[in-house]
Order: sequence, then C-alpha cells, then structure tokens
Amino acid sequence: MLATKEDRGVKVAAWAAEATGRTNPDFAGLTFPTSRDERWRYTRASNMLGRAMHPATAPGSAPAQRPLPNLDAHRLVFVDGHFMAALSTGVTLDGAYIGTWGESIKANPGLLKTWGRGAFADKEWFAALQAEGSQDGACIYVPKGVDISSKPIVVEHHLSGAGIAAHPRNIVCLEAGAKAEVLLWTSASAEADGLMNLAFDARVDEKAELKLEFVQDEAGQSAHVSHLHLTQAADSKIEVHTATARAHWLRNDLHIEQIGERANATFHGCFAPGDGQFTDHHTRIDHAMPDGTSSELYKGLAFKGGKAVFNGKIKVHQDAQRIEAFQKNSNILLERGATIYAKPELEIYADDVRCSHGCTTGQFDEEAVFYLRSRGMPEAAARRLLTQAFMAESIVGLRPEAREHVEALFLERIHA
Amino acid sequence: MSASDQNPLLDEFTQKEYEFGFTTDIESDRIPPGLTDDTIRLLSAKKEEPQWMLDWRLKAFETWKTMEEPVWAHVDYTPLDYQKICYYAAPKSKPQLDSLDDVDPEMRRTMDKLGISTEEQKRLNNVAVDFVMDSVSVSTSFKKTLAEKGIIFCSMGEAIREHGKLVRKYLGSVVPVKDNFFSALNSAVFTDGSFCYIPPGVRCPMELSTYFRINASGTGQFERTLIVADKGSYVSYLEGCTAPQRDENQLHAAVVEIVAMDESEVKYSTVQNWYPGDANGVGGVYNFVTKRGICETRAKISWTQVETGSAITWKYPSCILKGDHSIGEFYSVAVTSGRQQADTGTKMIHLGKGTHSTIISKGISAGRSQNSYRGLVQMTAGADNARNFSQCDSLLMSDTSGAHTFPYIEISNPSAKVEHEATTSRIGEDQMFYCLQRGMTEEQAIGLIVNGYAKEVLNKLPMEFAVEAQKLLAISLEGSVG
Amino acid sequence: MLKITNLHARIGDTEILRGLNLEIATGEVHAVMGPNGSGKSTLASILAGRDDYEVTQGSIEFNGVDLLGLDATERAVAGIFLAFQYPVEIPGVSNMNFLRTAIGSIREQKGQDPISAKDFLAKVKRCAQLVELDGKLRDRSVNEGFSGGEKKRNEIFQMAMLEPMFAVLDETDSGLDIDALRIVSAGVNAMRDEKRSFLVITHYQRLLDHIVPDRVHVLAAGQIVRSGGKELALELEEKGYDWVKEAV
Repeated sequence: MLATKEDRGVKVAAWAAEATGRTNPDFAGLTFPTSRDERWRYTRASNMLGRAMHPATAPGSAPAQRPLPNLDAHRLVFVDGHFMAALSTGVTLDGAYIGTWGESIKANPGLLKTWGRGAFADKEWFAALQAEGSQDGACIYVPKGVDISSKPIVVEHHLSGAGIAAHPRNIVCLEAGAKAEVLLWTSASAEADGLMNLAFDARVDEKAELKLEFVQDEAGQSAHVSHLHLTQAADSKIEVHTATARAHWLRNDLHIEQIGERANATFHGCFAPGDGQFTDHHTRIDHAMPDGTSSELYKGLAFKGGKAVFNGKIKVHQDAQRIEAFQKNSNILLERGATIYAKPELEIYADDVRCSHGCTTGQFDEEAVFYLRSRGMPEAAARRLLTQAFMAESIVGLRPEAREHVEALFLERIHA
Repeated sequence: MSASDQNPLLDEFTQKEYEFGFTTDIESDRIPPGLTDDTIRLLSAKKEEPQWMLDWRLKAFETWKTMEEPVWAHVDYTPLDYQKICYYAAPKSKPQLDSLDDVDPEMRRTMDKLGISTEEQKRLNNVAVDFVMDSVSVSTSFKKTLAEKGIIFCSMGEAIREHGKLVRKYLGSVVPVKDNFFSALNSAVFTDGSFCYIPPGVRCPMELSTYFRINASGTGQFERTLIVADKGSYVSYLEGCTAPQRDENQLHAAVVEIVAMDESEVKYSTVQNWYPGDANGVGGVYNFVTKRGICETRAKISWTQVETGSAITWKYPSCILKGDHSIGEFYSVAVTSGRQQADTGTKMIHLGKGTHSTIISKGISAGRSQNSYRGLVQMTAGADNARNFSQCDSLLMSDTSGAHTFPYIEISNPSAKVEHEATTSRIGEDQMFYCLQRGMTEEQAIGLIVNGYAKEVLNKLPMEFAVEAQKLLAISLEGSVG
Repeated sequence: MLKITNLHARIGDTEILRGLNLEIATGEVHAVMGPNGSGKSTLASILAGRDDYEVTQGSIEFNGVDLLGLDATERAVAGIFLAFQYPVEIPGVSNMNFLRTAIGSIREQKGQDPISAKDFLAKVKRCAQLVELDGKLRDRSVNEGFSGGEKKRNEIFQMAMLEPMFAVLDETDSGLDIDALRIVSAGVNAMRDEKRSFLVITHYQRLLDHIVPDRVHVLAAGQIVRSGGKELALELEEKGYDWVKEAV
C-alpha cells in the first residue's frame, strides 16, 4: 500500500526534526526529493528515512588511524560535528586564519549574514537540512596576496558511531591573489549508520588559486550527502579532486560558478561502488562570464551489486563568449549486477564556444588483459594493473600520499 | 548586442514568410470544439468504426483524464486548453476515392503547392502516397500495384474497417495508451493516419509515403500510423508535414508504431516542416509526437528525421531492441530559428543480446530558438555484448539561441559498450571566409556548410527526400548568421 | 593590375603593416619574401578581405577599383584568388559541390549563364590533370583528411577552376615535399599568361627555382625594404634575413 503524500510529508518532517535536533526545521517550501525530480531520477533518497539518527551532543572518539599521519599539514579535526581542539593545529599566519566556523562567527557574527544558509539551501532539500542542522567545521580565510599553499590544510570530518547525524559546515575565503591547498577528508567508523551531511562553501577572488582535494573514505553503513559550492572571480583558478574511495550511500553535489572573466576550473573525480553500495556525483559548472575554461574528468568502476550515478552539467550563459569547456566521463562495469547511470549535459546559450563532452561505458579491453597474461602476468594481476591504469588519470591530481591511499582501497576490491 | 543589431540579414530572415503558409479553401465538415465521451462517440460514428474501436477509445479517454501534461522537456509554452480544440475536421467533399484522379481539384492544388505534387510523385514512380489533410486520409495511390504483393497500404480509418483483426492485434502494442499524456490523448481521439502491412519475405517495391497537413483552423491533428513488417520483409516509409500559417497554436499529437518482426527492416523517414510561428513566436504548431518501434530477432528499424518546422517539437522516435542481434538507428537534423523550441532525440532500449544502436544527431540553432537533444540509451541486464554509439553535435548560428544536450545513459550489463560524444560550436569563421574567398555569398556559404554538417543524416534519406531536405535546410537558415 | 600605397594595418592593438607600397603589373609574377612575423600572411589576408584586420591607412587599387571597398565575395568575383597557407576543412561538402557552388555564384554575380554540367566536368578533368589530383580526392569533402601536399594541390586545382586574374599564393610551399613542390609549381606555371598576375609569398627561395618571379620584394617589419630581380632571392638565401634586418 503506497503511503499518501500527506503521510509521507509527516514522516519526512518527523525524521528531519530528529536528524537536525530542531523541532521545526525550515525547508523553505522544498519537498523531499523523489525520482520524479530530475536531479534525483536515479537516486532513492528515501533510503535515508529508514535510518534513525540525531546530532551528537558531544563528540565520540576520533579514529585510531588518522589520515595521512606523515603529511606535514595544518590540521582541523571534527568528530560528529564537534571541533577536536586537542587534535588540531589551528593557526593564524601571515594574516591568514585557519580555524573553525564556530569560533569565527562568535568573533564576527556578521559572517553569518555574509555567508547565509549556503547556496544550495533554497534549492536542495538536503542542503536545507544541512542549513537547519548546521554544525561546526573549518573556516579558512586567506587575505589578499597571501600564499599559504606550501603547507596544506587537512580538514577531517569523522562520524564516530551508530545513530549519529553530523552536519558540518566549512567555509573558505581566498582574497585576491591568495593561494591555498585544502584536503577535505571524511571518514566513518564501522558502526556508523547515520548521515554525514556536509557543506563546503568557497569564495575565490580575483587571481586567487584554490586546490581542494576531497577524499571520502567512510567505512560502515552511513550515508553521505555533501554540498560543495565554489564561486570564482576573474583570472582565478580552482582545482577540485574528489575521490570516493569508500562509501555506502553517497550523494555529492559539486557546483562551480565562474562569476569573473578568464576563470579556470579543473575538477576530477572517481568512484567505485561495490556490493550494496551506491554513489551519486552531480557536478555543475556555470560559465557566467566570458573567456572561462573548464576541464572535467570523472571515472567510475562498478562492482557486482554496486550502483553509480554521474551527472555533469556544463552551462554556458548568454554573453559568456569564448568559453572552452570539456567534460569526460568513463566507466567500467566489472561484473554482472552492476549498474551505472550517466547523464552528461550541455546547456549552451552563447555561440562562440567550444564545448564537448564524451561518455563511455564498457569493460576492460580483453585484448589488453590477454596481452598482459601472455607476458606471464596472472589474470588478477593483469586486471589490477588495468584498473590502476584506468583510474590513474582521475586521481593524478591528488597528492601522492592521498593517491596511494585511494588506490589501495580500489585495488583491495579488485582482489576480493 | 543582439544578433539582429549585427546582421540585417537576420531580420530579413526572421520576417521571411513561411513558404507553405497558405490555406486551402475546402469546405470542412467539423464537429464543435471540446472533448467528452460524446465527442469520441460522434467521431467514431462519423468514421463508421466497429464497437471494439469505440470501446478502446473511450478507455483511452478515461486513462488520459487521470494523466498530467509532462513538464520535463526543455520547452516553455502556454498550456493548451484541450476543450477548445476541434477534434474532427474532414474535408466535406470527401468521397470514397479509388484513385488520385478522384481527388478534389482544390486539394490537388494544395498538394501541388506543397511541392510534393502527386503528379510528380507518380512520375517519380516509386512512391505510393497517402495524403492526410486535417483529420482524414484523402487519397492513397498505387494501391493496386501494392496489393499484388499482398502489401496493405491504406488510411487507418479504412484499415480499421477492412483489416480489423490486424489493427486490433497491433494497435497500442508498441506505444501503450498510457505511455504518456499525448499518446493517451491520441488513442482517444485519433482521426486518421496510415496503416501498412508487409507480408513475410516481401520487399516493398516502392517508397510508401504519407503527407500530413493541418488545414482548418482550431483543429488538432491526431494521426495514428501503424506499420507492421512481417518476417523477413522490407519497407521504406516517408512522412512529410506542413500546416498553414495561423495565429493560434495548432496541436499535432501523433502516434507512430512500428512492429518489425524477425529479420525485417523498416526505414522511417520524416521531413517535418509544420508552421513554426512568426518571428515573434505567435502561432505555429505544437508537435507532440510519440514514435516507437519494436525489433524482433535480427530486425532493424532506422529512423531518419529532418525537423525544421513547428513552434514546439517534443519527439523521441525510439527503438525497443527486443530480439537478439536487432539493430536500431536514429539519424536526426533539427533546425530551429526564430522562436522555435525543439526537444528531440531518441530512446534505444537494448533488451536482446548483441543488439546494436547508432545515434547521430545534428542540431542547428539560429535566431532566438532553443534546440535540445534528449536521448536515452539503456542497456538492460540481458543485453550481453550490446553496443551503442552516439554522436550529438550542435551548431550555434546566433548569440541569442541555445543548444543543449541531455543524454541519459543507463548501463546494467558489464559486456555492453556505450560511447557518447557531444560537441557544441559555432559555424566556423574560417570555413565561412574560405567559401567567401571562392566567390560564394554568405547565404550560399551557410547553406553549403550546414548541409555538409548534416550530410551524414541527409545521406540516409531516400533520394527525392534528400534533395527536398537540403533545400529546406538552406531556406530555414537564410540570413541567420549572428 | 594591383597598386598598394602606404598600407597600414593592425590586428587588435598590434600594428603589422606600416606603410607598405607594392605595384604589380598585368602578367607579372612577384614574390614577397620575409622573416616570420614580418606581415606576409597579413598582406595575403588583407588582399582577400579577411575581417580580422583593420586597415588604418593607405589604399589598394585593383584594376582601377578601390579594393578595400569590396567584401570578400566581391573581391573573389572581381578575380582575386587566395591560395591559403592553411586550407580549411569543410566536412560533408564534396570538392565538386564546393566548386560548382563557387563557380555558379561567381557567374551569377557577373550576370553570366550557369556553366553546363558537361562543361563543368570537362573543366574539372582538365584542371585536375594539371596538379595530378586523382578522382578520389575530387569527390572527398573539401580538404578533409587531405595530407599537407594534397591540400596545397587542391588549392591550385581550385585556382585553375576559378581562373582568377590575380592569385595570391600564401606560403604554398610550406609543408611540401619535393615532388609536391614540383607538381604545384607546374600547375602555377601552366596558368601564367600575359593577362594574369601572381603574388607569391614565401619564406624560402626554393619555390622560386620552380616559379621564377619577375620581381622579388623583401618584407620586414611591415614594409617592403628591398626590391630586385630574381637574383635578390638567391642573395637572401645566402645571407639570411638578418642581413635584411640589419639593413633596416
């Protein structure tokens, strides 16, 4: 028996109240996404409603194995949406601020007004949920002309146990000519079955450069929804490298808006869902001003019982002339019972543009497998090598330590 | 700065008159606008239909009433008032026609004006024509020649009366009534169309052709075409469309069903040139069409379309590749200019093993138009070693138009292979200059380059159609460089 | 036939031609040589009427007509032909269709009757022989998938078909092997007569061994800095362009 719309509404409202810890979360008229919404066509958000969860009043324990322990970096560690000062190294250097959103708005409540509820909050139900349940996260501010890119900033978000919903909010602001590198790392314990609902907003001013690496390595059964929104001004440069190394049920929204001329964006990503796992990467780039460039590459593997969605939209606005935008998505289904849904989109309203997308889905070239075997390589090793080769292009932008970690997780699955 | 400021040719173009915008002065027998059970009963009675047909229609009408008009397409229009449409308008002087010579002279002139004169068609000799004006079929030529081979080619109305068993078996078998809002509406109120049956092993010796035309004002045209190609048969079918210039929007909601049995082949070609509305977007045809074919083992369906008309086009000729090793093809050129909006593409549903599909789509956007490709490639779990190749190119001719690509790729079989490529670019300045340097005018250069760009698709059309289509492309784009 | 007086031209903010003077009489073949960036290709483009360049000063007179007042099509109809340095590919448009359209257009604009299919084909055959262009290339899309040499031969083939009064060969020798160079040159030489003039733009002297010019000009920094007979080309070959630059 299908639930009526009203029944469903009541159920969703009750769930949302619990997940945010607020009695009446405000969804600004948005309704819970269903497969009738084009952006949720292949994604069953209702998966979430069966999960009982609430925000943690105090943080659980941080993971014993912390990411990239040998990397020389500034570190901001959050567990269950709470800042872990003892594990972190927040600093002020050269006028740049590397700290928490919580501290920042205490010191300067005006920031709340500047950044609002986040760019997605009036468009996406889960972003509204994020805004309503919003918790602590990183706040990175780099003033005009300051370059702190020589030492990366690692931002860790961990979900420590069962029944927990975390809604960390992260803010990055690079003023004109500033440079920074951020490594966003999410993880979850094996017991985790709740939700990591993360927001990341970045403003990249003129001639500034931001490199963002985003590694998602979540054990357990928890769900992950993230909202990344980056705006870039004239002559700025953005690189985003997303690696979904492990996830049970995941939806990433990455939205880059070029609001100045000659902006340049590169965004790469990869995913490899295995049995019972689901990953959904939605990307969108808005070329709103002339002479911008963008280059996108997403690669996916799907194992038996795994499902993946890739939806990449390139939108070139009217009068945004001389845009060059390229997108590529390649996928391999490794076994029966795997499914990949790809939807590369071009929406072009200016005429002097060069835009293209290519999307392929297939399997390893059996000739190549045979070639390697004929050179004395066992089949499993041959497949591992080809997997590595296939994924390499999409993770080459990660720093070597992160790359090795991600690659190892992919290969582990091949082995099994 | 808008394109029209830059280029006076654009203005000239957007004010260019629709070549086929004349009305035919024929008395028509029409029933009052509006849609109720009674309308359908009246319509069915006028067409002297058997009871089963009426029951089918009434059921479809019930279904339609529960459905909502789709909104997902990348088009924007004022919703239609379905109660203001006239659902039946037949040329009044319609007799039972046996040959073209019996056709009303005025109607004959209409056909002549369309540039597809039946005389000429007859001379070309290998085309049998069914001419559907407003709602009913007025003439079917070459019936005798075809009958000798056992081929049935007649109006749908006649087929329902004379070949009820066949029609009843296949009608709605490819496009179910409840498939979508417009197919349900069509099922309830379709007035005429063409029916074609090719017996086993028969290669249809000539092109079969239907010309559709909306003539009376305020009428909707809901034709229904059913093509059944029995085992091992072959047929090439052509469809052409025009409509007169009118201020109000006219609705065209057709359904085309193709059944391609084992090892048969059906080629379906369309040159669509419905009235696109004027430069300000007033008037024009709403073309909401459902076309679909089903392929049994080793069968092949090939859709080729050249779309230059209609204010709004919503159309996805599709193939269900049910049988192993069956083949689906879709070749499309869609030109939009003025304020036209097109959302068109295809669906290739791969069910059988070793099934292949090819999609070649060429969009050309000029003026203030919006042109979208929307296509689905689905490789189901059983589609072992299935293949798809898609190439979707868009050419932009003005800075006020839009070109969009929305492919849906759904893969559930690890041995299936799908390749999709799409590009968007503007007409090459270098190419233009090269042509101009060789002495061509701007319009000739555009015509040449655009036809070259669309060649892969135009080549798939039967000869007579290809020439017509090339002319149409050039005319549609006159002076439209922005 | 052609008289260029004090021509100044620029693209964007960069001035490329700075007072160029050149006069070519009917029936003569002139060569313009010069180092990279001296303005050779700019001159070719301006003669053919490409919009990218802005003429800021000076005049070009062609058979008594102000050439700068004509658009690219009108210049072609008036009898100017440019053999492109980088011939453009036009997918889907066969060479034959392209030429038929071009010839048809020129004849129409001149008020002449259209060429008959028979005459057209005969002419194609004759001209193709001139540059040893085989049938397959004729039927292929314009320049699509052609090798560098085939593209250049195709340019000369088009020139032969269109029978211009004045042809500009823009670095037609670049990218040619010795056989192609011979073929292309033979094609050009076959078209030389007392009514037709040529402007041969090249970087190297070797083309001028095959197409022997009446006059040679050296272009540097947007001006003709030296003019002489065919021996000037040899002198350049020997001493290099630095010698000219020093002379400036």
